[in-house]
Amino acid sequence: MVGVIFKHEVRMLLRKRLLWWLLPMVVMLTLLVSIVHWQQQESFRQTQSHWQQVNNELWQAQPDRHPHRVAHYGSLAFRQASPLSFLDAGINPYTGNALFLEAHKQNSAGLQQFSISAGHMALGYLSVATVVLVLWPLLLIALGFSSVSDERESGRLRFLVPLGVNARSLLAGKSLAYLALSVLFLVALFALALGFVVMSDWPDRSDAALRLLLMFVLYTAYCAVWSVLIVGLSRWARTNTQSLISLVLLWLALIVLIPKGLPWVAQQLYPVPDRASFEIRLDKMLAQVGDAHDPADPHFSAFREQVLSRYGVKRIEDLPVNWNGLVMAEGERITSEVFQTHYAEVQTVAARQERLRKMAAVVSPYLLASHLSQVLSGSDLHSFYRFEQQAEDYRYQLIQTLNQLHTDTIARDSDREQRLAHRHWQEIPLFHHQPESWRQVSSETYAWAAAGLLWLWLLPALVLGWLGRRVNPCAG
Amino acid sequence: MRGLIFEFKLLWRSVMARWLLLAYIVITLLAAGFGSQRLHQEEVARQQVQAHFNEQLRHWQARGEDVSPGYMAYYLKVPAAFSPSPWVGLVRGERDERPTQLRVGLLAVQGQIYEGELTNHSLLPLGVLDAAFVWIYLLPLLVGVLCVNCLAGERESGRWPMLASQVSAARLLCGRLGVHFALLLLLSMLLFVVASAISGVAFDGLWLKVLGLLCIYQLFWYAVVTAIVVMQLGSLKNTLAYVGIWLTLGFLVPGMAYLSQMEPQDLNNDIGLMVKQRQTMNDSWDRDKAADLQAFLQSYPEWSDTSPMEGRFDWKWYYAMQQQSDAVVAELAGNYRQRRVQLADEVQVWRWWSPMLNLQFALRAVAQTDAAAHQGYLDQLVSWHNEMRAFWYPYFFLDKPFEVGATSDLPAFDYQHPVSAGIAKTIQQISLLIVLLVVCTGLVPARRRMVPVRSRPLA
Repeated sequence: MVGVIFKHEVRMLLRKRLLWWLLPMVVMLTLLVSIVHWQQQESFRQTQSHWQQVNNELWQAQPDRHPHRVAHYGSLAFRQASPLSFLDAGINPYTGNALFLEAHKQNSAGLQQFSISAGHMALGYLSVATVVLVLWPLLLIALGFSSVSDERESGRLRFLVPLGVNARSLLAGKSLAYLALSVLFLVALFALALGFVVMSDWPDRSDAALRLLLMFVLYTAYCAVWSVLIVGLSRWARTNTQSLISLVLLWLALIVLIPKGLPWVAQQLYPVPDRASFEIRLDKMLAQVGDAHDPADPHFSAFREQVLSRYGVKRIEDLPVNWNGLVMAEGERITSEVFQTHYAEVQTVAARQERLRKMAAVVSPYLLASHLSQVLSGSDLHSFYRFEQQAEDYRYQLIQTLNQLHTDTIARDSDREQRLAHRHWQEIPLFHHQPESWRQVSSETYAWAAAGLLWLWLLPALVLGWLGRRVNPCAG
Repeated sequence: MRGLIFEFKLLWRSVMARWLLLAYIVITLLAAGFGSQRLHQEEVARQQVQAHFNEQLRHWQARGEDVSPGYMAYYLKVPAAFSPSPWVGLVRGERDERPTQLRVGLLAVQGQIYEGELTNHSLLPLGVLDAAFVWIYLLPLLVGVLCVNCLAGERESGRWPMLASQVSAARLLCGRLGVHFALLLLLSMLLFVVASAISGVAFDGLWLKVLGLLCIYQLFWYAVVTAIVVMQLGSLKNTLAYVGIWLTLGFLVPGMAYLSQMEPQDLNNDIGLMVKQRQTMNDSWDRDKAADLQAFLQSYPEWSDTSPMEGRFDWKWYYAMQQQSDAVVAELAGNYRQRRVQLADEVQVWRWWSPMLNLQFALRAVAQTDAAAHQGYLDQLVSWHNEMRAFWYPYFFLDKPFEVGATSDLPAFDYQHPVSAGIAKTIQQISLLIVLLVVCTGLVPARRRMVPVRSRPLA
C-alpha cells in the first residue's frame, strides 16, 4: 500500500511544472555556490600555507639575539580551515585566522577570511548548507503543500477509503516521495563534494570522506523531518491555500524567527563580556600579582625566597642561574594561568548559551541540523577553541623554552647586552595546526545527535499517529 | 466610504489576519525591547571600563612625584568606545561582529586597533532579530499573506459573480488594497513611534525621513501584490509567486552580492601589516638606536629640538620607534582601509536589484552599524592617537617637566557620528521601482486583466 502511494505521488510530482522550474534553479544555485566557496577556500588555504612558511623562515632567520628579544619577536599561528568548510562555512566568516604569539600577552585572532561582512545576508549565509537547510524545505513546501489537502479539496480522499487506503500508509507513502526527491538531490550534491575531496591534495582525505558521509545522513534525516512535517500539515489543512500559508509560516517560525531570536535571549540570560571588560578583569587580577619586568617587585619576594632555598644560596647574585630569566618564567606562568582561568570562564558562559540553543533545537530542527552540520564540516565554535588552545599551548611552551634559555645560558651581569646563537631557536619545533578528526568530536555532539534521532522518531510517530487516524469519508 | 468600512470589517473578521497582526506587533516590540536592552548592556560595560580607567588614573596620580611619564604612558590604556547612536536599538546590523570598545595606549596604533571581539561566534551566523529585520523581511510576508489572494479568494469561493455585478474588479481591488495598506501603514507607523521611544531615538528630521522610507517600502510591496493580483493566476500561484519574489529579493540577491565580492582578503597586504609593524619595533632593539632616533627626528622635525639619546634605553627612543613602526606600515594600512571602503562602495550597485537590500543598507548607514561606519571609527581612533602623542611627546622630547596631575587633561576619545546621507537616494530608487511596477501592471494585456466570471481557476 505504501509502495503504491509512493509511486503515485512520485508520478504526480514528476508531472508538476513547478518541479521542472525550481529544481534546475536550485541545482544551478548549489553548483555556483559550492564552486565559488571551493575556489575561495583553496585559494585561502594556499595563501595561508605560504605565509605560515614565510613566518617560519623569518623566525629561523633571526640573527643572534637575546632570548627575551626573541620572545617579543613572536611568531604567527595560522588556523587551517577544515576542508569541508566549502559546504558549511559555519563561523569561519566571523572569526580571525591568524594569532600572533608573543611573550606576556594573549592576542586575539585577527585576519578574517573575507574583507566583506556576511551581515547583509539577513536570511542566512549563502553556502551549500544554507541551500539545503533553508531553501530546500521551501522547495519541498512549494511541491508538497497540496499532497493531501488537494486530495481532500478535490474530493478524491473519500474515494480512497472504500479502496482500503489506510490514512497512515497514505501519509507515509507521500512523505517517502518527497524524501526520495531530497535524497536524489543530496546524492548528486555529495557526489560533487566527494569529487572535490578526491581531487584535492588534502592530507587527510579519508577523514573528510567520512565526514561527508555523516553530513549526507544528517541532511537526509533533516529532509525526512521536513517531508513528514509538510505532509502532516497538508493533512491537517482543509484547503490547499491554508496548507501553503501554514507551511510558509511554519518555515518562517522554525527557520527564521526562532533561530534569530536566540542570540538576543542568550545574550540577555548569559552575557558574554566584551573584550575590553575581559581585559580589565585580567589587568585587575594581574595587578595583584605583580610585574615580571621589574625584578625588584615586592610580590615576587616569596618566589625569591623559594628560589634561594631551592638552590641553597643566600643572595640572588650567588644563584648558578639567571634570576631575571626565572622571574620572566614565573611571570609568564602567572599571566598564562590568569588568562586561562578567565578565558575558561568566558567559554563556560558560551557553553551555557549553547545549552540554550540545544533547548531551542527541541522546537526548531534547523538549529539542530545547522549545529551538527557545522560540527561535521569542522567549522563550529569548538574547532575554533581548539585552535586557540593549541596556539596558546604552543606559545606557552615556546616562551618558557626561551625563558629557560635566558635562565641557563645568559649571565645576570650585563644581561641585556648578551646574545645567544641563533641555532637555539632554529631547534624549537614550529607551530602546526592539528584539526580534529571526526573521532575527536566532543561528547556534546553525541547529545545533539541523540536529540536529532529523537526528532526523527518522535515526529513521524506523532504525525502518523495523530493525523493518521481513520479518514472520515464524509468529511474528507 | 461604506465600501471601505465594509472592507475593514472583512479584514478584521479573518482570524488569521488578527493573529498575524498581533504577532507582528508582539515581535516588533520584542525586537525593539531586546535591542534597547543590548544597548543598555553596552552602556554598562562602557561605564565600567571608564570607571576602571578613572581609578587607574587616580592610582597613578596618587603616587605623586614618583611617576615616570614613560612608564605611565606605557601602562595607561585609554578607553575609546564606538558609542552607538540610539538608532542601534532598532538596527543592530553588523555591530556584534567587531569590537565596539577598544583600549588604546601610546604604543603603535596599528598594533592595537585590529582586535577581534570576544563573543560566542556560533551565534553570529544566526543574525539578529532587530526591529529593522521585522520591517524589512517580515512585513512584506505579512503584506503578502493578507492581500495577495484578495481577488483570487473571492473567485475561488464562488462569491465573485455576485460581487462582479455590483462593483468593477479594479474598484474592488483598489478599495481592498487601500484599506489593507492604510491599516498596516498606520500600525507600522505606530510601532515605529513606540520602538523609537523605547530606543530613545530623537524625533527629528532624520526620523521623519526614515518614516517616509518605511512608507515607500511598504508601498513597493503593495505594488508587487497589485502586479501579481492583476495577472489572475489563482490563489496558489499568487502565493507561490509572492513568496518566490520575497525569497529572491531577500535571500538570493544579497547572497549573489556577497558571492560577487567574495575574494579572500589581500592576505599579503594584511599579514604584511601585522608582521612588519611588529618586526620593525622588535628589530629596532638590536639596531643603532641613536641613528634610528635621528631618522625619526628628520621625519618629525617638530620634535627635533631634543637632547641626544644617552645610554642603552630612552623612553623617547622607544616611543619614536613605536611611531616608526606605524609609519612603516602606513601604506599597507592605507591599502586595507582603501579596500574596505571600495568593497562597501561596490556593493551599493546591488541596491538596485533588491529594495530589501537597499533599505537594509540605508538603515544600517543611519545607525552606523555597517562596515563603512566601523572604518570611520578606526579612522577617528588613528587621528585621536595623534592627539595623544602630541600630549605625551613634549615630556619625552622637549623635557617638559612632568606633573602627574596634568594627565587629567589627557585627550579623551569622543566618537563623532557622521552626518547621515543617502536616505533621499534610497527613497528615489524605491519610488522608481514602484513606478516601474505600476507601468508593468498597466502593460498586462486587457483580456488578462478582465476578471472572468467563472469561479474556479483551471488547475
